[in-house]
Amino acid sequence: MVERRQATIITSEVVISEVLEDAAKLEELMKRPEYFMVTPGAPIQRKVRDIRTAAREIGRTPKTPDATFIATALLYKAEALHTFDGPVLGLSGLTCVDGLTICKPSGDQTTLGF
Amino acid sequence: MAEPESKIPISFKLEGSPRDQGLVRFSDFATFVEGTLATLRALEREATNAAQAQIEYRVTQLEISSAAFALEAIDDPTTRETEKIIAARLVEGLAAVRDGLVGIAAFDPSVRNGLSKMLSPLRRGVQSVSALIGDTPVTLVGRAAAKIRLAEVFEESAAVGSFSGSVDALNVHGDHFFYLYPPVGPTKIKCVFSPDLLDEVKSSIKRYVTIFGLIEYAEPSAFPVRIVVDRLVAHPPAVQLPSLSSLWGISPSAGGPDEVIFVRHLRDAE
Repeated sequence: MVERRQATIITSEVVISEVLEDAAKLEELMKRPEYFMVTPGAPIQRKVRDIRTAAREIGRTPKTPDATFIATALLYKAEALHTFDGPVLGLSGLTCVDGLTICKPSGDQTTLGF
Repeated sequence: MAEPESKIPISFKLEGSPRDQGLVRFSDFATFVEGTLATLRALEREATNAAQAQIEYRVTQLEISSAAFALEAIDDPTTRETEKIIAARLVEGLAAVRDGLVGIAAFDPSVRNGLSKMLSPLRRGVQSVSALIGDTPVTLVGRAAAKIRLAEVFEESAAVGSFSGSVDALNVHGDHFFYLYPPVGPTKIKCVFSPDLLDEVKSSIKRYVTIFGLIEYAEPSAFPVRIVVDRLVAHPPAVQLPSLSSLWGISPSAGGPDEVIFVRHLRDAE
């Protein structure tokens, strides 16, 4: 969907420090207009704090980078947060993440361009 | 002889609460009129970057037994383009209040204050405000009042960072600025820059760029309201950039049985 310009992938600049392999290629990919990296400024950091506080109240302890991705998705009104991370997937739909859908990415079957 | 360009009519109709039989209290009407003028002048200053507003307006219609009026700018060929910008921004501002805080944050504080005063009667005895700007209608009802109150309590913060989007609407009269149109988030962001960046900015017009600089926020919105540009980098055309599918399987460490373990290791988040 992204390559067909039907969706935009939003991520946090935190990804720059997290991805160690092929980092340069990732940053090049992010220069495409269908990808968007967000600076985790004060409004996002406050949302991160709110998410971590709310999660602790129900016995969950998302790591700050994970909460940053969740806060970015929420404040930029993403339809869903895609991850393979089990503990993060376990937060899907909970009140502490404002009901955000967190799921593994899946691809649509497309037609071949014959 | 060419016909003079038609003016953009701006009209409002206020409806009072049922307890006032739909009539509007005079104090609310006066506040609305003062707020409207303050908003129009703030929008003009925002559009022209001038210290003082110049455009004068006149009343073209005033209904009897109803809180409704129409106005237009007094004809001046030198301000016609500004009038169009003001009308468009007024529509955006009213719609932003109607729809939520995200849009409101993109306006200068003086415009927000004007809109806040103009629409404050919705918190009191006015039930709805119907605007018709040119041929664009915008209606606000009482429930917008909570958003107006929130619009008054913005706090400002700033962070050094980057933001990407397309460069357009360059202004070099007075302060140098352009608008950045990002693919997500706010509709546009005002970016101010020093004159020594002018050539770089000119060559970036209509291009997709990343702006580096001081990003200012009006919280609680997470979207920038202004960027003080330090530098800007134009992105290469999309055909010269990798695609997501071109990165498929390039990591020498990938290919194990569990993608969760692989990603955890890659993110170094354990």
